[in-house]
Amino acid sequence: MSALYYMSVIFREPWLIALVAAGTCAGVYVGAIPGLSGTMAVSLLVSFTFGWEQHSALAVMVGVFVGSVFGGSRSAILLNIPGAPAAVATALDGYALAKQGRAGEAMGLATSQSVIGTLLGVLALATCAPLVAGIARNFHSIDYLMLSLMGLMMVGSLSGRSVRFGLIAGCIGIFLGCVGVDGQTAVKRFTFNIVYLNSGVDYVVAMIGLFGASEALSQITDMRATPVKQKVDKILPSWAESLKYLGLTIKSSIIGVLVGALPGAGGDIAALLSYDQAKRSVKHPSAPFGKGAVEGIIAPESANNAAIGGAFIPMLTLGIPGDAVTAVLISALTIQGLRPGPNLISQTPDLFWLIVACLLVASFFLLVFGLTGIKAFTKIVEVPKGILMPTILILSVIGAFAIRNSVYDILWMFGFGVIGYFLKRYNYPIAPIVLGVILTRLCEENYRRGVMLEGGSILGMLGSIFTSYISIVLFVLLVFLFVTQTEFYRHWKERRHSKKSA
Amino acid sequence: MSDQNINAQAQTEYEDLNPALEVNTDDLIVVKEHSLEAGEKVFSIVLLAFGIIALYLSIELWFKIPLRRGPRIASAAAVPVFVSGLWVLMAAWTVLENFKLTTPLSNISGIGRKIIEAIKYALPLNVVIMLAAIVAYSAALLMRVSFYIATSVFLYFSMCYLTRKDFVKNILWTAIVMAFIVVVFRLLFSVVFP
Repeated sequence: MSALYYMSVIFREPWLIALVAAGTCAGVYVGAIPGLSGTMAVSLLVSFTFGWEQHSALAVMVGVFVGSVFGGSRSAILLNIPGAPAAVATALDGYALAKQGRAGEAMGLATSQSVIGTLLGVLALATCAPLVAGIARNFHSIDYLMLSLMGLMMVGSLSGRSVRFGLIAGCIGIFLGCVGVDGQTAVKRFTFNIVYLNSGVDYVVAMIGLFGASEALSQITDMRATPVKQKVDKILPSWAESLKYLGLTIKSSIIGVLVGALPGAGGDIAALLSYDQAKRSVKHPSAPFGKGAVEGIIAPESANNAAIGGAFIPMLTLGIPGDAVTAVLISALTIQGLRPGPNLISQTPDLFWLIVACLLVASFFLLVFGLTGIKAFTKIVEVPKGILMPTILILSVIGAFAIRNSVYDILWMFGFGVIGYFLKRYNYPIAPIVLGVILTRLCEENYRRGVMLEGGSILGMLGSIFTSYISIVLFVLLVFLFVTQTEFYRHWKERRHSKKSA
Repeated sequence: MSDQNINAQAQTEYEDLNPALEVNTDDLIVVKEHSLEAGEKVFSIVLLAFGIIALYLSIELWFKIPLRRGPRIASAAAVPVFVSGLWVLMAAWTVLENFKLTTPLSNISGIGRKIIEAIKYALPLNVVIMLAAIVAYSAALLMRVSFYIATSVFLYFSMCYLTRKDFVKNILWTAIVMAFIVVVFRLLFSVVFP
């Protein structure tokens, strides 16, 4: 009963609802712009709301968080430029749908799935926070390593014509992710004494270049193609459709919550993992994955928004941030005189339930702001190529510069654009490069930590898998994912299928 | 055999034949004449070359890191050596596979003509011009030319070149895009421009 009382605070103070609404709206449009992120927006709000009352400051920050995670899907679907790393997987099928004239349907689907994912994440936060926190607390380096390897297994799914090409692209991405000063030993790797490279290759710059600039260059090779007329009569999926995909939504949301609850792993990894699991588990997708399958939007969008609820779990129960935004929120709470940690829920239950209520209200406004303007936004795709492509290049420039206010980031972005253009020209996949850059840190740090903890022995590290139930489960999943990608497994499945039909 | 039996047999044989089905053109698979694109064999060799450079740099780093910093298998060079090695392996395999396959250039005689056709495919004129425009735009930003001027010139030039018409209308398009950028990024979100 006290939980309901604390949650009702937001309805007794209507300006909190207005602040959540304003935050969600701003978050949607910030998230849609490549180079601007929810982390950046929330960081700015920490100083902006310094003198505000605690509840008001939290309300607007939670709204921006929810809106920005969803917002990345807008530009991903319309322009094939993910607004945030969490929307990389959405771009794969969302943009394909836009090319078929179904951008409105794709955005409506992304909106509805984001809302459902957020609600499921909030449900997990409200009911299972201590349980999920307990699982997250028992994650060791080897478990994070296996999680990142599972993410890298997606290379196979994204490889197109052959796993070999995906592996080459993935290796390029991981190698680029290693550029810079090593975080553990301060050794300079592949910097060639260029000061700019000491901080490494920013994965957002890589993403904007590989998806945005390279797409613009690829499109102008054939100017004869006319813009596709977008159908906007059907935006929201019907109840029947939503129920049909409910199982996939719930599965993806569970992945989102669990991955979001892991410190250091956020919505981007959750979205990639759930896209991969959807690709493996959905037997009859509406279209081949990567060619406009609606399942390719449902899985990542519900996962990346469910990860919001998951990210709050370790933050509120253990005082450990689940992702970058919750790390900023912890500093915001500290400024307000609070100490996020194991006693936060017992000492200040009103705060915990206020955050839950703000997330619920933000989900509602996400539906409102997510669906508004879809018809206007789909007009963007109908603009002639000769006008749209230079505009995309300039938006990519602004997005790349906005990260660190460095002109060199613009040059890197164009460099990635050229690399992506040539790879696309010769039918190599580019998504594994971004995947590699994103996952390098998680993979490498935990591999090296795991080996060092076992006295420098890789066998010792592998042996430690069998000391924890979580590690054993992850290991079995990893082996399964690997085996199902091999030619041997595919042949076996085909033989089994032909025996059954005979 | 009586006429009736012959007709009955013919009827049965006709019914056993699968009638021609209407083919849904959406399901037609485009069969490419050549497995590879023009210049793809060279591109795979270029990828292999970059992989070898990456591997060389990684191995150099491997031996540069002193052992007192810890076992090399957990050093800063471990992952780069592994991934660059895998890169070289996969790229070499691709080069060997590509030897057996054909490209649209396979039927062209003369290495000079092959090179020209490969470059035409890899770098169509539109892309070359746009890359030159991008280089000029980047140089202008590095030389601290005003972002507004450099961007407006880049946009107008690119639109005119790509559309090859509506030179006056493109001024309006340039103005619309610039206005959108200034209002949304500069005024609304306070994004700093180069």
